[in-house]
Amino acid sequence: MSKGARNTRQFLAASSSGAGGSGSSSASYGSGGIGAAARTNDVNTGILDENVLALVFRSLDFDPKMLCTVCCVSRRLRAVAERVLWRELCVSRAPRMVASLTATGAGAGGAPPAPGRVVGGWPALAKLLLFCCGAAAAAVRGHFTGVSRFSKTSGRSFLSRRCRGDLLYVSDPCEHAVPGADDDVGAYRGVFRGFTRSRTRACLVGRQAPLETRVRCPYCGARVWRMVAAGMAPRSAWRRLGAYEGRLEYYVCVSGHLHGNCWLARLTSSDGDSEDDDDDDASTEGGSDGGLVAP
Amino acid sequence: MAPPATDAATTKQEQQHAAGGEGVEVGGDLRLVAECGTVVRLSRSAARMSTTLFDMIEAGCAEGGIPIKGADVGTLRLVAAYCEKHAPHYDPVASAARLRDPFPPFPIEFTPASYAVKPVTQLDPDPHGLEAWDRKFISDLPDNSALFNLIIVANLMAIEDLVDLGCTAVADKMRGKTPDEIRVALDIENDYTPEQEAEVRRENAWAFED
Repeated sequence: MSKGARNTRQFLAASSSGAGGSGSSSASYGSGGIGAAARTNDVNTGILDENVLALVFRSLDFDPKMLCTVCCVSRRLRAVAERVLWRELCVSRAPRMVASLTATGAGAGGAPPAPGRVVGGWPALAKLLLFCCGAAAAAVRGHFTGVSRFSKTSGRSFLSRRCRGDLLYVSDPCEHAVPGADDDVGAYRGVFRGFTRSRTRACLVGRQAPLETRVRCPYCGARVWRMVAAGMAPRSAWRRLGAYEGRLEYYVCVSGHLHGNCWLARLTSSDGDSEDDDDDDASTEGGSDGGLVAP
Repeated sequence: MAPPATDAATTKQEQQHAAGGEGVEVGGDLRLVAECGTVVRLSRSAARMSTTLFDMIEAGCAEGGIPIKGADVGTLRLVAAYCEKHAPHYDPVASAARLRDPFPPFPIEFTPASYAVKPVTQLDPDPHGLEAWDRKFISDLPDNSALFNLIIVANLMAIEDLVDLGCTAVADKMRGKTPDEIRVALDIENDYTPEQEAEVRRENAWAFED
């Protein structure tokens, strides 16, 4: 799995340099069977031209299955997909959420054109929007989801008091029935804005919380912190999800992706036990939330 | 280099060129200059289909030759043929009303032609034979690179309908195919090593699970 993560980062580095491949491979494009006629100008012509690809995929509505298929076709297509196509998919599915994730409020470094880069890469964010990773502990497999709702209010419940300044989106828990258990497992995921500059990360580093050895981020393959073990999982988290007390687990990776699961309590009549930290529960925040994300 | 399908159009243009002479510019045909310098003529009504050309006509700077950077003669002739064919039935309002960036990005069943008043009885869905002509137009293209050039030039000239047509044609070539089939259909070289390819396939298998 670590080798896979290294390869992912290599591809990311290559595409961000704009060359669309390492130096040795770009020489092979010229001799490849791209077109019958000799091309004197840019070798990335025709279907490999990123404008054409963006237009074609726009007419396909950035179907994620098509995008995944096309990534496997050639290196150049994968690079274009990583830079442009996955980004357009994210923007078309969740425009407000993407806009707030890429907004450079703190003005760190140069301001990229909106939206330029996102921590962890666009393919990882697209997978996070559309793929429920299940729960390894309960042997629940991951699956491609339909509509998912991401909410800043839910995210706030996952932040300890000191870190309330961070912005975190968390999805609704995706319920899975587990054979042999009475209760359901809820799997959820989320993403931080600007995790590298967040208080959460500062706290984790400050406490010298160890990175997990056996778990990796299912979205970008990076290493993760186990938040419950680090003492950074607040009570509001399991209350917000409607889970059993303390029976939840979640991980945050170094890129700021969150994934976790919990045992969901049977709904009783005693709902709405919100305390001070859950005051604006989707009423005022509802309009400005990430909203619905469709496949 | 001229594809056989546009022989009729090029003959027409050559006739215009021969008979029209050089001095007819005001109210006459537009002259589009390809990369190699060859001039392709386009009537004003057909040029309305291109938003760029339309704006240029309105602004009064469509006199003389209009260079189209990056377009070769064959592609320009195809574009001109398309515009000439569609010009009499072009409806800019309907074209703009067709949502190209739909949100939500999955199709929602609207009543047909929700932007226009329609009669109760469904008349001939292709009254002018345009769709059949479009299909023939696309299938007569010699190879993939002609199709891709068509999309690029149509995008350059802002002819939305032709861009849609081209992209739909490419999308149809790609839809529902495995990576190998796409490589064959679009003539793309596979530059992955076998290990990299296996890695990429594993990485991108998530969209197909359940």
